[in-house]
Amino acid sequence: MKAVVALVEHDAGTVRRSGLELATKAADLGRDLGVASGAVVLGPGADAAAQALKETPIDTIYAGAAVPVDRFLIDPAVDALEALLKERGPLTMLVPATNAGKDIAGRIGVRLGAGVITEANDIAAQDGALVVRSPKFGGSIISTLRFKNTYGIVVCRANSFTARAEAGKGEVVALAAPTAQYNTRIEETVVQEAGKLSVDEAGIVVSGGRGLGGPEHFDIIEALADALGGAVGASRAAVDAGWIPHAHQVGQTGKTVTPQLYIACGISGAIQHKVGMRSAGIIVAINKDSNAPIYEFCDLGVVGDLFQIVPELTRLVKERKGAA
Amino acid sequence: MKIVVAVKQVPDTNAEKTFDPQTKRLNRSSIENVLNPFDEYAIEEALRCKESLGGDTTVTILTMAPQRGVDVVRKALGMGADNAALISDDAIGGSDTMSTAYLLALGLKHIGFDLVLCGTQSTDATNGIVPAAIAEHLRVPALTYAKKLQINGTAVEIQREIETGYARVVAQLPAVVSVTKGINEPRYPTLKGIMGAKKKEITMLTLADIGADVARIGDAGAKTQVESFTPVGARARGEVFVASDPKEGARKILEFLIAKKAI
Repeated sequence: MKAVVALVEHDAGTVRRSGLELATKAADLGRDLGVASGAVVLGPGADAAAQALKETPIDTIYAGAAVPVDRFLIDPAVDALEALLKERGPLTMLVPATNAGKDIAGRIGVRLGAGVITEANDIAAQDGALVVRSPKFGGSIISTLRFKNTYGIVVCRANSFTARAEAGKGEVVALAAPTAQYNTRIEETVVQEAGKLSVDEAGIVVSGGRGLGGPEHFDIIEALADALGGAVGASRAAVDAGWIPHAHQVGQTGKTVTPQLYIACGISGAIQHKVGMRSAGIIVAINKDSNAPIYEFCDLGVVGDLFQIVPELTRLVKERKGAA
Repeated sequence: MKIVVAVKQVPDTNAEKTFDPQTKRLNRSSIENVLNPFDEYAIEEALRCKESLGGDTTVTILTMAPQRGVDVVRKALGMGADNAALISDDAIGGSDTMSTAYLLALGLKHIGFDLVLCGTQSTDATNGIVPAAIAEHLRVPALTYAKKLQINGTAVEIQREIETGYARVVAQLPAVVSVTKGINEPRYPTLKGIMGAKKKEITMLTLADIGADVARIGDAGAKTQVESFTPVGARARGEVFVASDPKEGARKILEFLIAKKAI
């Protein structure tokens, strides 16, 4: 293996936090294995993102600003990455566990005959190779895996690694745009929740469930999430009732999240929810039912009226942050 | 139009999982298996496409499983699918995700298709990469994470769920589409449907039938090696505080978060 390369996602030039995490991890693994490290940024804004990545310990930054990932779904990114990986490989690529990241992993995995390990939350260099850990079966089992062949792709969960700033030594290399014609067109992108953190990327998640009683009460959840700098999650009951879009759902048929802090409000904690959030660092539950299953596995449970406790907690958090 | 839905049988989420220490494989025979919950949305969407397109549109279920995987296929047929194909062979055991995609792609080539529908992921492995990998093998577009789907003549249009909203994506058929929960409300098989399903054709496909290279599947074909499986212990039960006064409850949480350096 000749390198460890991270695929870094950005929003029009602003590197996502998960991108900084992956770039730092790729640099650390490259160092530990004694091989090169790299980060790839694609699409409009890639040049600005590349400059930001100079503040990470990464060796080489590949910037493909002209790769039309904004107009065609996945294919241009796959072609650009395939060319780079063949030129610089064999190597291991780290990709984020986002919709696009998983699609890229599947396609590149087939093209290069690579091994693919998903849902990774720990990667270490051991005896000159990578050892990857990933939770399976709803987080009830941790599998430890290695790649058998030389190309490997690791799909990494957000919040698994710590981003580290380091004075820029990274060299920026321009990536050429692929010349192929594509026909999977992105006709338009509709932004419904601008500037909001996604539930699977956020370091703090505040979730609402059936106990909220209706869509109009999600504003107290959102207020607490905003005060904490987190994202809004939801249980299946709240999503099925149409109170909040499916993109917010945490659990078996929603997202699996691993934030440092998860606050469950009015959520009973059925197994289908538990499998999506049991790996969170700290779990706090607020529920009026003292027999709710969530009290069996949370770190702090408060039995009481969430309609009063949540706004009061929001006030206290704001007060503390204001004072700090 | 020929629609094929790729489905998987998964262990019931509530079931306790054990692993064979020798092969490091899940003991799938000792636990109750169910149709992957995500796949129900794909089946429902296929049936809705059939209902709106009419004509000679057919819905075929494709799965890869031991012979008893037929149970899961029966449920899909009971919902209204026309027929099914089951890729089954002892040599498949131990196949990893990429081998699974390879075999499903071969099965799809064997059956023929205009539109392939999949759930976004399975609830057991939660990889979420099989739909894209199948599309790559078949060299067709992959329109994934669809929360809305529409067939317009020879084109397929979806609303792709993204972190901040959705993207409207269009491609020409044939194509692979993976659907998210929320695209529809899956129907339950009716009694009539269940009875009728018993008469529907289930084709058994061997590796030879689909032309699979055995070197690319099973333990030998896997590109990853499992070193170990470690069960995760239950999370310890923490403190449960009964807040007679909401202010007291909120204060308790704040102090806890400060103590844990969570804020």
